[in-house]
Amino acid sequence: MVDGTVVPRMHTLITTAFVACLVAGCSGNAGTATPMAGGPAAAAKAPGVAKRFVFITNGDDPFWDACLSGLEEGAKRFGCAAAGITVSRDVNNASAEGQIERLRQYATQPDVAGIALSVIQADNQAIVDEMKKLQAKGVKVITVDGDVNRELYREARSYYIGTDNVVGGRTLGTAAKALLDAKGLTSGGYVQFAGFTDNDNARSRMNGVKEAIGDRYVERDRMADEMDLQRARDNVRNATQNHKDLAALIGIWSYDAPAIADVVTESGSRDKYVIATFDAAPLAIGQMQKGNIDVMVVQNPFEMGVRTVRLLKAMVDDDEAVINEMFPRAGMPDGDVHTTGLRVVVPDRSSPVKDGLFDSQVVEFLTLPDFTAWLAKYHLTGS
Amino acid sequence: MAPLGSSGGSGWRLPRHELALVAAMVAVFVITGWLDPNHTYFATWAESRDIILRNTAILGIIALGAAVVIIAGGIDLSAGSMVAFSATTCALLLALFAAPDDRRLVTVGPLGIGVAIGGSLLSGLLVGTLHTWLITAIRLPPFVATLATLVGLRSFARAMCLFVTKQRWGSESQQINVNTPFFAWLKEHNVVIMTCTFLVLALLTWLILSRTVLGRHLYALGGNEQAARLSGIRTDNVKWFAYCFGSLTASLAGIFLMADSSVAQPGNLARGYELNAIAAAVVGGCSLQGGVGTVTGTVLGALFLRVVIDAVSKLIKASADVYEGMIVGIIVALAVTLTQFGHSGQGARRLFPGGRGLAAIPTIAAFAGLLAMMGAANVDAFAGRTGLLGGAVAGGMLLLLATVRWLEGQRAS
Repeated sequence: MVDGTVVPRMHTLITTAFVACLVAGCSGNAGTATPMAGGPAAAAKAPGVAKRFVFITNGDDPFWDACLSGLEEGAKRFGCAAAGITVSRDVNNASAEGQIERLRQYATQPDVAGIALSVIQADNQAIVDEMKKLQAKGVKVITVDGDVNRELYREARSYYIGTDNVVGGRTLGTAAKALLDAKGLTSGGYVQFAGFTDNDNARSRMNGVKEAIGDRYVERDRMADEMDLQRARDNVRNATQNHKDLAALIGIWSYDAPAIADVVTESGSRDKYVIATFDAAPLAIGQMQKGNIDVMVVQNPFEMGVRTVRLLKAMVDDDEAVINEMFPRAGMPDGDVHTTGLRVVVPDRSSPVKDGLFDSQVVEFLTLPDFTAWLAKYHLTGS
Repeated sequence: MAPLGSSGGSGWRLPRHELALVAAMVAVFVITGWLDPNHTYFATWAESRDIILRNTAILGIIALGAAVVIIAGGIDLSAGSMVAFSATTCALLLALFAAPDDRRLVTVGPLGIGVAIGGSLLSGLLVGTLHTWLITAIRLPPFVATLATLVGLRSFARAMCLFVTKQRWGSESQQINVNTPFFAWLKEHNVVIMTCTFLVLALLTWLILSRTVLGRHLYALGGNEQAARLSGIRTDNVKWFAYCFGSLTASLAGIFLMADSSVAQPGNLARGYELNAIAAAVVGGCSLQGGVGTVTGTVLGALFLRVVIDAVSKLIKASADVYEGMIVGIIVALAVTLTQFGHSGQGARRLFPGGRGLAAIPTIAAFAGLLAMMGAANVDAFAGRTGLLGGAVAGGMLLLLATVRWLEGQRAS
């Protein structure tokens, strides 16, 4: 029997030892690098010292898996390992708080030399403040996919890599209009679905869709799900029940496509709607193969990842040649924006959406088999 | 284990439970500082300190409210939603006092700020009163009453946000950006202000619990409600205080969080915070059966949780929050287990009795092995051998726990 007076001491020891083991058990790279006291700027410049690039997403979505593949590819192509640079992805919890906390945490870590983030709220002052603090410490900060409000906070990052979301929206709107016209409709409503309707990229895309789809078709709602997949489905259900003249369902964020396809399939109402969506999540590709999605405007998260690494490495190395190549219009309006192009994907050549509707300088037109072949080439399941 | 009841009546002397937390925290600091390749706690200590203090203050403010409710024998599951509701109320009131086209809320004057903060705190009192009414008049169990507001308040805040933004600016928004200079100032000095507020609140709570009749009534209510009522305590009034205090602290945290993130986003703000607050109180020594708990324990519990979470962020270099819930869960289970063992039978209870105890052994061993395997995946030295390591840890754990069970059996016989 254990003596009663000994038990408290044992508990103290057990608690201490257990927590210590727990923390030690979570150690990632113990003993593999030397300590640095010079801060990120010093770390970024010092040759042979381990450095890190961190990519912070806006939330959790398969879209970012393709970006991660791109980051890995970029790390290979641009010799990060030889330069002592590791690249990692940090998945945010879809909140501004989450991004702020992550930025603060990385500010304490002297091996972080570059941060790329998809800003979750373009107008959020706190996120901007943390980005500026990182810059002041010598960390290179760029935005990818989701930018800050460029009118107010452009200086919070050096560059933006991603889609021109207004052009992307216009492209999707053009495709949706062609599909609606092909159905013989002259009027009707449509609803747009996204994670947040006042996120910069969502807002730009929706405005682009509205602009291109024209006045004959009326935007009935913009519905936000805050990146909750179940809520995304509920939004589609509510939209189809609330708006009797609905003719098109527009998915703005990647998971909206399978959400829309699932709901119209379960309700047996596929034929009633034109379904036009952004991105090519793995589930969305499957749904297009089944005939449940009419057109996808696909960004290139893989290439965003590759170019993120290229740019951050060039910034850390002060490689002006690469930076000038990526941003040939530097100093001009939006000269700090690098777009990664768009693809319009249709099920097959019989689609009413035709190549000639789009500017070939900006948009690559593909059928689904061609697109899946490209995915297979890079071992991707979605884009 | 020292008795945890009697609250702060023991003055400033730390009982053994609190000493265990302090010792564990020191161990975490030292081990993290040593294992972290960047030695961040030594290289950039000030920044890490600020992160820990800021997060502890927010968690601690909510945890103090949770602790008072738990000591009074109740539970408040709505704190996270109350935070979101309070922040949204504050932002919406600011919007009403801003210039008509000012969606960034830059133009709000002192009156608007005062009304917004006052309204936000008042919303806490009203929700606390609602909880008390549901529990004392409608006779809902506290778990059900606060579960209803957990889901209801956040939804209400979201609807309120859409409605007011539509009425005010003509288009709906799920969030409101707050760039009011006063809140920007609050954000700029958030570490000092939030930490001081937390400490003052902790002192006030300690005074109430240990130096007032109300404090004794709270312990009496939590210890045995029937006996408290029969001894003349107006238990409904005491409950009203406890639930109002819980909601008020959450609404205070809501104002700070809104200022800190420059946005009121009711859909996501402080989601899950209620459970971390309860966890901090429990780790600090509060018993969910009521009547037991201390302010010092709760403060240290909050600090301890945040220290461990921060340590994991330092060691796992990206996406550390994936492990946050697991670590908090393990710490809570361990703290309560050790507390119970300290209280009951002085170690006479068995860890692995009967068939269920037997079944727990391979389960724990499997979890330990999987955790080791996932952790080793980040370590170059284990490349290609993570499965082997996981198997070794699982096997070792299995052997260890089986030995403990065998020793327990020997002792019992």
